[in-house]
Amino acid sequence: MREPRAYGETLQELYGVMAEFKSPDALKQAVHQARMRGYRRLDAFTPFPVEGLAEEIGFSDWRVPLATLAGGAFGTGLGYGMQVYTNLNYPLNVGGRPIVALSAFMLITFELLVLFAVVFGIGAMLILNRLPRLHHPLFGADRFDTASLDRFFLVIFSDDEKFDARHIQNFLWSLGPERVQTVPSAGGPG
Amino acid sequence: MRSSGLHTGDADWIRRHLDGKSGHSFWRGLEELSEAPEFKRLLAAEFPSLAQGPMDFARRDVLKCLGASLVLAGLTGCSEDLNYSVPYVEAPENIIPGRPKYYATAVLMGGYAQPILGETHVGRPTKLEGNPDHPACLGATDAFTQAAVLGLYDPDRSRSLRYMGRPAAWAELDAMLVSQAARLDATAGQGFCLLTGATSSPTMGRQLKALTERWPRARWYIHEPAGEEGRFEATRLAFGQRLEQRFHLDRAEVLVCFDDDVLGPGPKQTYHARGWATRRQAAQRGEGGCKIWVAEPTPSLTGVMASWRAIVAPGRISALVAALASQLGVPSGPAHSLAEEERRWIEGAAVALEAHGGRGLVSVGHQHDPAVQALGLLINAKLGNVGATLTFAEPSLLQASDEGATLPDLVRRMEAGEVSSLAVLDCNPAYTAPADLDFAAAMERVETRFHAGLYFDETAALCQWHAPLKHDLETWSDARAADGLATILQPLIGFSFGGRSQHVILENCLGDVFTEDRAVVAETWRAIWGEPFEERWHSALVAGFIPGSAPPEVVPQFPLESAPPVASVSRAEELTVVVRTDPTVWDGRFANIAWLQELPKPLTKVTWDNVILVSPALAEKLKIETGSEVRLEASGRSVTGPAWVMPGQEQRTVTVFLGYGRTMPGRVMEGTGYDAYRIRTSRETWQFGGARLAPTGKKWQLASTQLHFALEGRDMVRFMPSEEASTKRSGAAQAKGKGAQRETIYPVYDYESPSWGMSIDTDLCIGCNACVVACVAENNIPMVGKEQVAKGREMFWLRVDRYYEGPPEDPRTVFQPVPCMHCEKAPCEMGCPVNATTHSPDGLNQQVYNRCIGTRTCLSFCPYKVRRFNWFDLTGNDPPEIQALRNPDVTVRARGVMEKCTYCVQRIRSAEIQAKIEGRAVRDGEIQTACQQACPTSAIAFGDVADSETIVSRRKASPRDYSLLEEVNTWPRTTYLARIEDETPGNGSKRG
Amino acid sequence: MAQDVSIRTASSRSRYAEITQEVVGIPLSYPRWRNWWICFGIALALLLLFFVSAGVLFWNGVGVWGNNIPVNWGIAISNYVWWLGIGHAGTLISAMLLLLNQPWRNALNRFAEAMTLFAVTCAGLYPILHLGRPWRFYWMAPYPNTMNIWPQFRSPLTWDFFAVLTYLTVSILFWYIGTVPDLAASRDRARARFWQVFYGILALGWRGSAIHWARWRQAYRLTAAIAVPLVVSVHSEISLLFAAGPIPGWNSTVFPPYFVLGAAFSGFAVVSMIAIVLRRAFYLQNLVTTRHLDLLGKLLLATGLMTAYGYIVEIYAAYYGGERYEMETLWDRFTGVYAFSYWGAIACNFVPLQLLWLRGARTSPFLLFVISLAVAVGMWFERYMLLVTGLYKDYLPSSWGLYDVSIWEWTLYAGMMGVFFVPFLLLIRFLPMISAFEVKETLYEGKVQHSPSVERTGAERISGHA
Repeated sequence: MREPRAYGETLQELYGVMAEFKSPDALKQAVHQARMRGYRRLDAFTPFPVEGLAEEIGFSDWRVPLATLAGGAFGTGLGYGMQVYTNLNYPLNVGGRPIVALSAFMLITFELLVLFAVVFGIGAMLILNRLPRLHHPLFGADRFDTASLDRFFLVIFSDDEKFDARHIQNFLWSLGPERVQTVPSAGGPG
Repeated sequence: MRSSGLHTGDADWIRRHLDGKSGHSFWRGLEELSEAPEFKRLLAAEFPSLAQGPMDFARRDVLKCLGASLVLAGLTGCSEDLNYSVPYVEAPENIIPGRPKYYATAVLMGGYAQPILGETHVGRPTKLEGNPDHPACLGATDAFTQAAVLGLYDPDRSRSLRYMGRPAAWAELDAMLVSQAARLDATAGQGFCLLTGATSSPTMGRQLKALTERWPRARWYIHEPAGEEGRFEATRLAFGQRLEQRFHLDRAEVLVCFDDDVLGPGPKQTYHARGWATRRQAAQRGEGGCKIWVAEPTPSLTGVMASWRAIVAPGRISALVAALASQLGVPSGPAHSLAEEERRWIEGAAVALEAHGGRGLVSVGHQHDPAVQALGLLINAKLGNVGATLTFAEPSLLQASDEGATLPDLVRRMEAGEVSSLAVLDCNPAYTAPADLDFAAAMERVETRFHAGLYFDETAALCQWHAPLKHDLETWSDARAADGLATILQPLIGFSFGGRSQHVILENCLGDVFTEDRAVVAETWRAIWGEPFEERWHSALVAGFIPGSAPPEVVPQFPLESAPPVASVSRAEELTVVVRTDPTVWDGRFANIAWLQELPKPLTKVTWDNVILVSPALAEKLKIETGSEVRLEASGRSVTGPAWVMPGQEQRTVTVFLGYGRTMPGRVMEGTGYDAYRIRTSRETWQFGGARLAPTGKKWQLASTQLHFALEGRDMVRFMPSEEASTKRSGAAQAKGKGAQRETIYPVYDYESPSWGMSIDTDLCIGCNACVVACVAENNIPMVGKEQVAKGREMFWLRVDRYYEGPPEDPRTVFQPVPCMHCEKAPCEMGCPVNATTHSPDGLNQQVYNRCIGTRTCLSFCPYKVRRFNWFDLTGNDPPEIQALRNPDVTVRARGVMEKCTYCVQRIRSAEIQAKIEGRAVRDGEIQTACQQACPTSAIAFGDVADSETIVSRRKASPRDYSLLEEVNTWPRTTYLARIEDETPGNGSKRG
Repeated sequence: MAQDVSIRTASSRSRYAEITQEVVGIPLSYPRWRNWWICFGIALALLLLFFVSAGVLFWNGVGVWGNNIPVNWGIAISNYVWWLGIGHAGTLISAMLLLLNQPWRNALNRFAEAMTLFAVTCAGLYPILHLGRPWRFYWMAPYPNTMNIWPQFRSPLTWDFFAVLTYLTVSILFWYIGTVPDLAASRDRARARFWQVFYGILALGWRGSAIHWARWRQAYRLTAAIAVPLVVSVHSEISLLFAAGPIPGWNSTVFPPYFVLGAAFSGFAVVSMIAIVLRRAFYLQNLVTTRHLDLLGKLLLATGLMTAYGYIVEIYAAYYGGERYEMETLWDRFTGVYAFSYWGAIACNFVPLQLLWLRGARTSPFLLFVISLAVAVGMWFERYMLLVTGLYKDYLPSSWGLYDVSIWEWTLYAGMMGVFFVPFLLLIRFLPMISAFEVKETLYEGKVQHSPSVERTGAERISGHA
């Protein structure tokens, strides 16, 4: 799902409202509640992958596996095609072996299958995650660095059609977080 | 040509003085000149030898020197055209670069001519082939002849005249010789001695005749360390005449050799091998027999081919010959007691010989007592072999001025101070003289010492004067081949490395400094032929030999009583030493030729060293093994060398080899082997008893190309009873032959004609190595040196494997040449990641040097290990001479690439191109690989295997056909013919 | 119960921070300066030796080695196989155990993968160094050159070329994306500007979004799933480098599995050694626990026994096939000139190994280290034996010959150690070498999913106190 534009027209424009929780379970609860309240544009931030959290947020995306599959198919085609083409392009009698030696060609075919499956898969993951992205409004948020340590954050983005900073803050407080804060859009790059 | 006696400046001065003068006035100019004071000064400066003392030398001499100087000053160093030589096939003019030209000439070996065709590229000889028209070799050569061309280019060859070791001007030598000639004229040659090697040159004969006539008191000596003087002794003893024995092995169905290596290395090897091969091939076809009986103390190539080889002490030979004689009813003095083994052998031989009267031959080694050899001749006479398998003729080799003129006699006279001037021509007594003669010391007593030779060798070092000789391939000369036919030698090379020919040197000694070698040779033949001369001269050069020029055959009368054989010389408890020439460097003259140094000895496969052969039993007894250093003592002299435990060696016989341990500086021969001359005496040159052998405890690092000799019960070399072999191929045999190609999961490529293949007949291979050197010469194969060979990195594309089967004291020995097999299902090609080795449409396993990156996978996968790898840059810093020697049609390989036998693809392609130009198919036999062409026994056949009519196809159709390592199923294109086992009555294991 | 939970969360919450501190603290505030510098100095010296040896080699040619004919492949190739085999363990531990949901892996996988990277690098260098014309190695790559000549795709060497490159790429990617979250952690912990930027760039701006985690997990697990068969294929192809040739002792269908198992065997040995050293050097006893050593020991024993099985099958196959050359080669391995390498392999690989039947031996760092070392040496012997005994005596007795390793081959081998350790030491110095986030994940999952059998906290689960 897309995040809002990082750089608003004005410095006052908000990026979202963020709540900090102590445990994954609390965060899960919060996400659940937020969804119940009808918030759709939200995301959670955790130091490690939390089972089922993404599903709570409503994540269902099979493009990475599909990309991997495509990569595999591509590599297979490329590998076998290359070997057949080059041997037909310049046929040589090599030790009386067949010109198109299916069994012998299988090995390189497999290697390229693997190579491209992995490259496509990981490539897709990075692209879909919009990574690398070194600068991000959230990094400006207070204590967000603990997101990679032991804190668990919920963010409701400003582009949610039901977005209202005050309401949301109250709502989030009701979930028993450590703290709640608004996250401003970063004032331009840097 | 810097060897001009006059500095250029001076030469100019003279020329200016003679400018515009010619004919009569020219000579007057010289007259004036000789009086001119400037010239007197100039002369004094140039010729100290003349200037010394009062300037009252004869006007004639001055003019001579001056003339010589002018002639020499006028010569130019290099000239493209081979001035007068006549090419073998095409006219000398219009040299087409890239198109080799062939000249018929010869190289010399022990005085005998080895007739050759020299291949030259733009005036550079690159390869020598046997002269196919010459009856003595029919196009074959031996290893020495193949390597001769490297001798021509040897960078260590002497290039300049030397006086007292420092470079000098030819004019100085001329002056010396001229004045000496003048002196000798006065004294009828008193005190002048000439020492040469053996020679068969008619021109030399003429010159020496002239010399002895002009100077009756001068004497001419011959010293040939490896000469077979004994044979002449034998004929003299048998019928008072010094005659040359000529074996006709092509007619000898039974050959009985008493310690006589007729097929072994030597000047007559090619001639004999050719003859024997002819006989053997006839026998293969079932036409008559071809059996060899050998009794010998140390293994020889003839012994390897023997149907029945008896191992006997050298001292027993006389007894055996006598026994055979009495068996055949030839009076032979007191009977000797024979061992059971010996008796059976003699009886078998006697039966065979009698059964083949006139088709047998008995030969006794030249190193044995002439009386014994004479007895052998008598046996031949009795059997009616004389005139059939054995003929006699006037010796081809010239005879010294008289009987007594031997080296010991010369040395005695030198010591007695009777020799005032000694000229040594192409002979190296300082190294080769028997140990009991102190040649060096004797030299001290000679006041004028002059040496002419290819190298500044040990003898040159003892002389004041050294003149570089021209190589056989640079010079005009003449010589007789093994069959007596004379050949006129012509220069192959467009330029000269400096030096003069023997003939010119001789003329110089006679005081004539103007002459030039072609003129001298021509003069000889003009005298023989008369007019019309030029045509005969021309045709002689074209043909490469002179038909009907052989010395007349002599049919001697045999007095059937003979001198009683002497008793055996060796006492039981002591060892007998037999001296042999080295199979690759001969008597030492080839010691600086790398191709021959690195060439594995046929029987030991040792390179770069000579060894001391000991029997397994003796080794056992003395606790020595191959490579341990031993000290051999006999009659107060000793040599120290590496032992080699030799299977098939007679228990109490020790074999030493001549030709190594030379002290002359030569970058190739440096520090190789031990010097066996140091134990050889003038009385007992070839064998002597009373020797003692003791290990010194040290080890020698020997570089052998084959570390493992046992067949291991594997069937690399196969044997077949003669009756099977001779039968036409049956259906079953067909199947067996096809066994070479078992079924495969791979597709079958069908090769249409032409498609190349090779067949090697192990029944004909005598392991002589000619093919190996031919391959080296043809394919620019680099030599790597002893250390690398020891590491197992020799580069030979073709190797001759040698295997033993049976008990070490008396094994069966077999040879097997192994080139690339050009497998149709080549594992090597499958292994190469970069397509650097692939199969050509005409069935060649190709190696693409510039595509190779050196993964060496091909070599790992090659079951025959015939591939060779450039571990270093082996060719980069070759001296320019060696680069000039290279075959321009073959790539010189770079560092880090793989190489191997190509079936001489360059020859295949050029033949195909030629055929295309002439719009025809390539004829069978038109393409000869280098190895095939050199082989004296035609053991190798090459051609189109797709065409069933070719020689090679017919050979492959033989029931004897098999392929190496059938079980690996590589479908080799090179296949072998099994060796035929002769069934010899009463002889169990010793077959084949 | 609820209270119980809250306590445990309290304890575990602190554990999250502790774990990160423990792991990320090492690169950020390095504890063992002196020792590290000593090791690094030695490694650098070895690296220098590598460059010298390679220089000598390139200047003179392969002739400076002991290789000859018939043994034209020397320890360059056997080392190639050896290094690659070691490398495989990293991938196996990390990928296979991930798929098998073996949480204890998380303490080991990071440096195991790092080991893979550099082992594969060393392996990959050897075939290039041993070329006759190394500067032409790229001719094995398929590129349209002027002559239109392509690589020869039936050659095991070409297979290796692709296999090794693929393997290297996949290993790097697998290792890197597995490290990114911890790099982010380091970035957030770093105080100095330079390190913030350094880790910031490497972390690619990772911020732990649930969505990102989801996609990341998809990619990571898929890569792991693919990496396992990759390992198998790669080492099978290496074995074909021998098995594809008609050489007695090589040409055997046993080779691929035989090689793969041997690879895992030697690899686990080296992993154990590194684990033991690291936990000792950085006081990680409570992350890399005796339980991990125990499990490593079991893996080692298992793979070792499988390798032993390979040995037996080889003997059986030779005699069952009845090929005379095969049997002679086999017999020669027992009794020939190079028998030392065969018995050396047996002795080092399988004799000390038997100790691992005892739990005491498995959990004793010292014993496990010694046994692992023996295995590493033993597997080196095995590779050497397989290579040399195949080549030095094949079909024709005339071409039999011995092979002696030259000094320059030994120096190059020693130098390779430098090539391996210099980057490895830099890595443990500057990057988090234990997967902190995965340890935390395990800790969390340990809390939520109760395993009825053993009542343990998540922390205990991962730190493995039984």
